[in-house]
Amino acid sequence: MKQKECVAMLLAGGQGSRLGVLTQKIAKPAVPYGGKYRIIDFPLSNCINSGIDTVGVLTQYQPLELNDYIGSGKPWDLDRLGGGVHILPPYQHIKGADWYKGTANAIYQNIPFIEKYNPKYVIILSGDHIYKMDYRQMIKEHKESGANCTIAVIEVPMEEASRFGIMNCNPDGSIYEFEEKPKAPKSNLASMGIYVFNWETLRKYLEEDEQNPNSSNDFGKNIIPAMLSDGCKLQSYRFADYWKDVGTIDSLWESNLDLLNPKVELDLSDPAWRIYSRTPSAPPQYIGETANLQNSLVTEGCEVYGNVEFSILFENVTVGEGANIIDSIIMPGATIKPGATVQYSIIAEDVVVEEGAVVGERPEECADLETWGVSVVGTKLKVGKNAKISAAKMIDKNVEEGEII
Amino acid sequence: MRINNCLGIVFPNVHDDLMFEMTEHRSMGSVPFASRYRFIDFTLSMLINAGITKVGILARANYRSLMDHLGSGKAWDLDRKNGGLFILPPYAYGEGTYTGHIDALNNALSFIRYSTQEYVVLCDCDVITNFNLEEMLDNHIESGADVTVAYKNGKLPNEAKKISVFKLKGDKITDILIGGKGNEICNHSLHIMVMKKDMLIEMVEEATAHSQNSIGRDILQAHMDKFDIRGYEVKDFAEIIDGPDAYFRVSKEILANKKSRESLFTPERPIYTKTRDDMPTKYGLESSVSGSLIGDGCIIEGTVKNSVVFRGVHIGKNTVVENCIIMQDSTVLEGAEIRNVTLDKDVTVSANVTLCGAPGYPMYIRKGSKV
Repeated sequence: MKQKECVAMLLAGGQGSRLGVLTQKIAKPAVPYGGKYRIIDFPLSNCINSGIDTVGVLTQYQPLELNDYIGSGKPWDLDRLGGGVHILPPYQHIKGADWYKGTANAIYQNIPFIEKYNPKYVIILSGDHIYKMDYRQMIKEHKESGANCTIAVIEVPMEEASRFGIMNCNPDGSIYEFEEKPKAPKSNLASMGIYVFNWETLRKYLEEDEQNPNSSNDFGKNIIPAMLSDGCKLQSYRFADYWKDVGTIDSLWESNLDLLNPKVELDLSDPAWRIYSRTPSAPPQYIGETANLQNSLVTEGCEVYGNVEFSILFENVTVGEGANIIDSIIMPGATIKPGATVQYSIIAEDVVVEEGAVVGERPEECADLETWGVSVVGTKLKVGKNAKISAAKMIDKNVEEGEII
Repeated sequence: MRINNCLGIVFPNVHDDLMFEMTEHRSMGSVPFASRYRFIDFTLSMLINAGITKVGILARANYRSLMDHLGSGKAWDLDRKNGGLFILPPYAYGEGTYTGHIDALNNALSFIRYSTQEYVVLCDCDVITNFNLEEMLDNHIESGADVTVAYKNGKLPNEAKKISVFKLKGDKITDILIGGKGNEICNHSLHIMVMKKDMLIEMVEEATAHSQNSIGRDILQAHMDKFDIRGYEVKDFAEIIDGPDAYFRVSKEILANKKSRESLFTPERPIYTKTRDDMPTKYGLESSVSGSLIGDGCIIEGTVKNSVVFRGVHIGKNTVVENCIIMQDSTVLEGAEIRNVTLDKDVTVSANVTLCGAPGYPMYIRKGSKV
């Protein structure tokens, strides 16, 4: 087979436990985003738009929905002869069976997949960020710098730097130190979890790392530090556009609502850089006589008779007459009955919010602002009539009529 | 759903002339409808939802937009090794294009003959419906009839000079009248019929030998005594579109009537179409939308009332759009007011322009125009 210049490996096995009820039954990359997408649409679309047509998707936690969603890869044009998208779950081999022990071990276990394409470079991606990025540019700079590994970095506010993996760089952009969540950060350049490796170098380090029983087989904790201490050339690649880790409820909510903010530069309508997704066959959206929609995103299959402000409705959502949806995200198939209120909340797939129920609280109405947060109702649950759910609640079972939580 | 023993044949062009400018650059089958579909989507979706996996499209003219829309047939699950979608444009030397159903069928005779299916269903693309075609096929096979035709009991469409009207005894058709008077309640054809493939081949060969070209007149009407012809009554939403007036009327009917929408868009039988990967529609601050069907990828900043808006439309600030049909990628700029207007694809209505048609007689603006 013809040699591929670059193969992408997309780490999609993480549980995303901080998303709570949203990832109880699905892997984080399958979490809905932006009205009609799922998080994984971003790296997959970036790949095909960057000319990378061979993508391995490493799955482990709750892969059913993700497998189903990716299917043959057709929506991303990744159903290809000699390439395309491949789902790579852990498998049984002659010496036994192992789960993926860490990010590096997941790649290690799939060395034969990568070898089949014999690539010069491998790009490691993760399935939990929202961003549009031309990987070609990063690979080009990687080649020009002659580095063994190039890591994409983004400037974060200094006060938040201790939440990220921080790359300490020389003026020429080469990396001299990596610190995972440093207490006293020396720089504000955070790793975006996007690595371009020369495949030969990466394979050597993966094999060495596997021999070390004390290693946690992780790129950030083991592979990158090992390469640094061996004197490999590691280069940073600066990225300055929109990038958001959607690993927490608050960041997922914020990042969705960023789509409604004209000041945020994340344009999903750019025909030159489409974000593709698997779309259901739903009828057009119907906006009823009594509806009022202000600064909101609505998609196919929705029926709206109520009031929707600063919110995002996914496909097949029904909003009854007199219902209020404010600063919220309503995922596919949910029904908000007449007179119900949903504010500052995320309503997961196929939830029913009955008449008169109130989900979530406005920050200004919250007694203690310190404890305020976005409320979440988990998949397929029912919120009974006139029930009330206050701020920052994570609902994982049906809420009875009139119940106050 | 199951794979059945039936071949689908679709005529995308047969009523092109009724639609005037709307079919100037496209076939009847590729006329946009209901915010995100083309006429042929309803036909194809019905066929595949009935378990049919091989469909021939007998295209005659203006079929570029149709071919672009259909592609490999993937959107309808018709990209198959076994069967799938076949687009059969005319290929005869020097004879020009098809003049009618028989001509088209005769041209595609080898395709039909070498299909392994026992039955064949013939569909025009001028009906907006989503009835249970599988049930009609089952009834046909069970009854042992020679031909079964779908019909609707209702008002005869105005322009329907060529529509067959049936007299029935039980489900047996006892008489066929062609081109009845408008406005009367009758049992009229929905241009969808099923019969055995071998019988179709025989009929087409005989009609061709006699230079006959009409299925209704030359085949069915002429052989009333010879064949067992039955009717299948469609009680779901079904409307023949026989001109721009009917197009506008039926679009408004879907807007106004929830039952019609529910019948046409029943979740049991989804209508499939080519996707565009548009982002969701954005409703701006101070937008006001009511009683409207909206496609994806729109930006709506003005007032939209009782209108059908297709994908990728931009409606600017301080605009009024009322009783309009706005096809894909058109733009209505700031301050414009349009009422009772149909904008075809890619139309731009400039800022502060006012356009007004009469409620029963909408104005039509051609594809790509700038007003």
